[in-house]
Amino acid sequence: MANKRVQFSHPIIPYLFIAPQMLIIAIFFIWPALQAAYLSFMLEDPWGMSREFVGLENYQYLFNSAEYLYSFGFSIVFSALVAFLSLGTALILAVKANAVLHMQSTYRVLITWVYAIAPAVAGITAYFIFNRHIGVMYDFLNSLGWQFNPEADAVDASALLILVSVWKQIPVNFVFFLAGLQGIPKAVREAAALDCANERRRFWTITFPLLAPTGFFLLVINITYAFFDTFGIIDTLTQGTPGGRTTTLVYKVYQDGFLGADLGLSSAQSVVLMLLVLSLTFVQFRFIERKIHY
Amino acid sequence: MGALKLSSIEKTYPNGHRAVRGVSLEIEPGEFLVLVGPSGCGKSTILRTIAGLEQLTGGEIHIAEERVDERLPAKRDIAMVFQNYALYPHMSVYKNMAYGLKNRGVSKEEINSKVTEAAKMLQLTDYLERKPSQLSGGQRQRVAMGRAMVRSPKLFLFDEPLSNLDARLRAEMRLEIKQLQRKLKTTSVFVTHDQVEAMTLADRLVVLNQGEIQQVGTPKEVYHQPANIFVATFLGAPAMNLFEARVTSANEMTLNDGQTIQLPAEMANRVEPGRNVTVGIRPEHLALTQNGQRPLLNFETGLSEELGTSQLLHGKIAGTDCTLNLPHFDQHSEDQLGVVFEPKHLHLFDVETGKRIDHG
Ligand SMILES: Nc1ncnc2c1ncn2[C@@H]1O[C@H](COP(=O)(O)OP(=O)(O)OP(=O)(O)O)[C@@H](O)[C@H]1O
Ligand SMILES: [Mg+2]
Repeated sequence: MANKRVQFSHPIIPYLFIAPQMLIIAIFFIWPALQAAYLSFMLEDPWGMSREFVGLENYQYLFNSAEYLYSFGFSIVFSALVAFLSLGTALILAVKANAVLHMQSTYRVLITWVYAIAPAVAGITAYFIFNRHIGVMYDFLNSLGWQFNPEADAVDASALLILVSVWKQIPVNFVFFLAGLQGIPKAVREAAALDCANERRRFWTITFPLLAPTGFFLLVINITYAFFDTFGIIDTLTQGTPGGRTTTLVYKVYQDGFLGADLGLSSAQSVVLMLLVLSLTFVQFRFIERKIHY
Repeated sequence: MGALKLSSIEKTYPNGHRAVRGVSLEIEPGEFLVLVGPSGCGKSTILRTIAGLEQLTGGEIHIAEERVDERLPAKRDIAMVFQNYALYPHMSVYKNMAYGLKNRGVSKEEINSKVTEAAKMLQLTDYLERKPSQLSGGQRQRVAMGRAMVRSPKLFLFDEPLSNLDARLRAEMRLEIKQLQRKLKTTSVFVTHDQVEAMTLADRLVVLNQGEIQQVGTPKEVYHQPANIFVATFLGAPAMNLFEARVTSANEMTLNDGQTIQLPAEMANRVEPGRNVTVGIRPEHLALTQNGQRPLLNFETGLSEELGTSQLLHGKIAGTDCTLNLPHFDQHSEDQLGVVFEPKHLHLFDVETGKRIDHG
């Protein structure tokens, strides 16, 4: 292996180059993270007048709270479903769009434009479509015999959130999958066509494994999305109702910290969330990525 | 019985480009056929229609008497070696070779014995567990060969498989492919635009231009009796010298500047006087006059190039560019030199059609 390192004559210069970036990271990421860690050991009154060191009490409270444990479980199931469904749908759409010879770009644009919609706008739009009083889909689903009622039924509410979240995330996945598909050399696909008559089998043995690096990258993106970026959708659609049954971890941080004004508890949740993301990232890069790079 | 039969096949691409124009060919079992022609003449297109990677727009393809042009590529019992190898990057060498067999429901033991045997033949035994990205260009080329071999198909198709290799490896692999094909006796169609590859590999050569066959024959026939001006100038480096001439009597032609050439003996009385012809002669068939020999033509000396084994001497005869390929390197300071040749090495072509004249 050739030595790719570039040597600067003065050892300070490279640090100066990355200083602005490091500063931004320090101010907007590391400082708040440390602040959260510090606050999570504190009990603060709602007006921020006094705080008291309480050790692990916030954490103890958290892991004994049925509500928190529920939202933990809900987040995981919700994220898994959103990631799986949006990745799966996008992959099918990308494969189909890639096979289209005429007007391929039209399909691409049609599927991609959704990306330009802000999560909150998507949430509000869905709110109207599925609203009990004016929603078209509300009436339609009920006329089918499904007693659809997201305001009272936790399953319906979750289904609605998942639907909107998946819909919103499909374009990103689609674009990446399509690029990934088009990155598979034509000759490789042709060699496979000579080696295997069954198209479905060819997909699973050649196309799918070759898309794995793209898929892995998207998995990380999608889980992050489902954890954090669905906030706007939840806030506009259900606000965690009915009865906190659609509260994700991130939404709960917001509820307890900003609405409930319990900064200590909210900070403890943030810390747990950070650890969760950290371990997830670690697992993903250590164990999955290693297997899928050629 | 033909191993492969193309019956006036046509291919017009969706954009309206007519890449193959009524090509008919019959290939004997075990034959090594080479398609050669300039870039864009439709060689790859023909190969890809045989493989089924492109749909024909006319004509039929038969492999071992069975019509295949409507079958899926995998159902035609052919194997193809691509220019850039087209190995599956996520599979080991072993799996690359086994993939086609596995999909055809061949048993594990049989796959194992076939792959092992092919690997031994191609000196890949030590690399079976490696991924393609960990192999050199030549090794990748061998894996691509192995992948084709293990299937024992009725037909091998090669699309410029050596053009990504450096000159030395190319010569080595060329020989290897030839030996392998001799051993396996599998009918093969090989596409190249490299003349040396074409001449050395082919049992029979097909010269193509603009989607049409120009000539089919053994390398020797095509080289020594080119059917038209295109074939004459396409094969051979440097290219054949051509001169405009007019037949002035039963056994004589006159060049533009009034110099005369004797018609070859067997051509005498076959071309009617007054007819315009194109005369061709290969650079290696022209020689300089030696110690008082009577020159047949006058040569205006130009630049010379030293090739190591021979010398190229450029210049003009009768105002037309002309090259001599001389066996020795000598300094030529004279402005004019005398040139001699044997009349049997002259080629005559019709001026209008470009077709060879002595063809009956
Ligand atoms: N998919 C396509 N659509 C339209 N035209 C095409 C397509 N593929 C090839 N052609 C055209 O058909 C002609 C023949 O192409 P082909 O690839 O068969 O040439 P070739 O003889 O293999 O050339 P080369 O030696 O450069 O590989 C070319 O003029 C090319 O531009
Ligand atoms: Mg080609």
